Amino acid sequence: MAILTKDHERNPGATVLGGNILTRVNRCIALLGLVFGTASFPGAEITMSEYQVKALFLLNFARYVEWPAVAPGEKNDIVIGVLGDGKLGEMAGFVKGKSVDGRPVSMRQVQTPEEYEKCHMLFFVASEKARFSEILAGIKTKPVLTVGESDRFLDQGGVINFVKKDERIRLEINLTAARNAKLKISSKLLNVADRVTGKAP
Amino acid sequence: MGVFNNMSLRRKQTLVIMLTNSIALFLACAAFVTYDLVTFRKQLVMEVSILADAIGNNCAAAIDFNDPKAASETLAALQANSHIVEACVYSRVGAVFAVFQRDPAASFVPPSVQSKPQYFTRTRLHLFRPIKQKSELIGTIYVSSDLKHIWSRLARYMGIVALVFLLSMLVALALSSQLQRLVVSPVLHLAKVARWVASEKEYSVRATKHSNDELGQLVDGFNEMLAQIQSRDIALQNARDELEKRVAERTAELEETHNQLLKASRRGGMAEIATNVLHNVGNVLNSVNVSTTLILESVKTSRAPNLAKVVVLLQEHTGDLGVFITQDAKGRQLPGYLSRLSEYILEDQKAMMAELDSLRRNVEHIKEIVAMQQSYATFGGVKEVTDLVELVEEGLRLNEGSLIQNGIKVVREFENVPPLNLEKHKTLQILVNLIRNAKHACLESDRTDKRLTVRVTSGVGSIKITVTDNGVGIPKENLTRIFSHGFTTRKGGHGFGLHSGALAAREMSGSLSVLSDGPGKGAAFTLELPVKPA
Repeated sequence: MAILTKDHERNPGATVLGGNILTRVNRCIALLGLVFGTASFPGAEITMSEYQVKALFLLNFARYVEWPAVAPGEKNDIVIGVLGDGKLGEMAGFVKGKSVDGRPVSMRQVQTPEEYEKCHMLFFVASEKARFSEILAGIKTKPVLTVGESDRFLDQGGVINFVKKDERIRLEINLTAARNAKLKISSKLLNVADRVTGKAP
Repeated sequence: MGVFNNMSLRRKQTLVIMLTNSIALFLACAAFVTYDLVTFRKQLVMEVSILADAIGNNCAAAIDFNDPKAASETLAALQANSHIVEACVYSRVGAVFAVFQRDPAASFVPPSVQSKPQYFTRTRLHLFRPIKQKSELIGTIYVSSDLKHIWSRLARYMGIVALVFLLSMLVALALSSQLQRLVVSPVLHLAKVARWVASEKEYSVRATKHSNDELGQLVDGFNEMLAQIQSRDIALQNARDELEKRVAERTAELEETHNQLLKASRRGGMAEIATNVLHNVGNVLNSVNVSTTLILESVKTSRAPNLAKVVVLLQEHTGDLGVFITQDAKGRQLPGYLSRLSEYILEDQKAMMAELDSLRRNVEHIKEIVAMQQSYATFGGVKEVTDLVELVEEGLRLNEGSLIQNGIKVVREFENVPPLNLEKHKTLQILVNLIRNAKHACLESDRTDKRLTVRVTSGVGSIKITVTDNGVGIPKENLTRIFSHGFTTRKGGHGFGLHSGALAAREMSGSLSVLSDGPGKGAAFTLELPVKPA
């Protein structure tokens, strides 16, 4: 909720009046409450879909990862690229309009290496498994946080991998890959990771 | 307050010192402890706050990536601080995310997120802190700490305060006994002196001055007062002595004056006597002079020389006496002449006899007066032991002639009385006067059985001599003034006898009194003389 409130306050384009802000904020709180409550405690009435949770996690990564000063991307935005078909709609709908640390987040489908390199994060949908090695090798030293959801994703040079355990989505982190990409990952994030491989910078 | 009023000054001072001391100490300790506790609470809040911030910060990723287990593990680090009892991490929307409790058996229901950062209950500090990551609110952490260390700290303070209190009391007690020397001792000294002065009435003592403060002034004032009282006392004593002296002097003066007055009065009395005597003598001398002149005239105009002429004529005619008497013209007249001459001479003689008698009586009167004067000229006479009966007899004897001559019967009724020590002459004089008065009273009366009774009786402490007559008596109105000087009812009397008699009686501590039933019923004069045991 704080994120949204701040977002509205800071966004010059958000030409809304006080009353509208409140109602909107309330709506957002309600929404987030539902999202979070169900996400944190299984058995709640409404559950988030797997890719909605993954979209949320991707958003949250922005708070625990530091990109080098010569970061890619356009303007001030944080750009998340999605490699692979079928999941963008579900995820982008969740991310739309949100921001992290005052920076708006945008999500888009990417195809070409040029496009990859302009992203802060690159999400590899499991269906594109075959292309992973090649693509990862291509952007190995670029400051792009690569996130996957497949076995052996870290071995292929990915930085963070989603794994499913007990119906919960857990994290695996490859520090070597992060170092190669000149990304600094907060120890807090490491603390909640199930598995951390590689060596810290 | 009553208890306090009845206390001695010493106790009061000690009490006041202790009280002041304890109040000051209590206030100081209370302020100190309060300040310390407030500071300590702030410090506690800060400590717990730092702890909560640190733990909360480490829970941010756990919330963000939905990892309650990691959050619980992070919270478990609180185990290290023994005062943290409970803790809880909430999600953005206030849902409980992870819980920590020291005692797993205790039931812990996490409180809902509070807007205030912290609050105290009696035994707990409850603290809420936001969890932020990159300035974004991730969630909230709640930490609850017990206040055992505050209470144990307070208990330690109480112990220290009690100890300090005890020590300071001891010091105050010790000091107060020292201070007593400064304040109470002078007062006690003053009180002691005041008590002593009050009980002994001794104003010469002085209180000792120890200091120049108000107590010193008090002592000065007290001493000043004593000095004033003392000087007043002395002045009073002097005044009393002076007064006594003056009274003594005045008494002496009065005595002197009294004596002088006495002498003067005696002299005055004598002068009175002399005046009276001279006056009376003068009067009588007048009569004497008249009588003498008459006799002289009578002698001058006596016809005796004519008789001598007859004798010469007869001698011339010795030879012819018969012829001469018969023949001669002269001779013939001779018998008739002689006869007339003898008549004249007899008349002259008679007249001269009368005058001479008067003269004699006057001279006698003068003699009496002079005798009386002589009797009073000697005052303060000598006392001698006297037989009173004999004295009465002497008085009667002196008047015996006239009494017998006038046919007055004298009755004597004498009791047996002891000899008296008295002024004999003075007493005799009184008696003579009384007898003479009685005689005169009888003489003036017309009755034939003239009687005079002299009675001597002894009473209680006194002897009475009563001279009673049955003469003319005394009118009632005269009874009161009969003893006054110059009072007389008698022709030729000078009103002195009874007056002097009464005076003389008084001089001898006796009295002279009179009784009479009225004119013609006689009178009784009583001389009463005290009996002084010899």
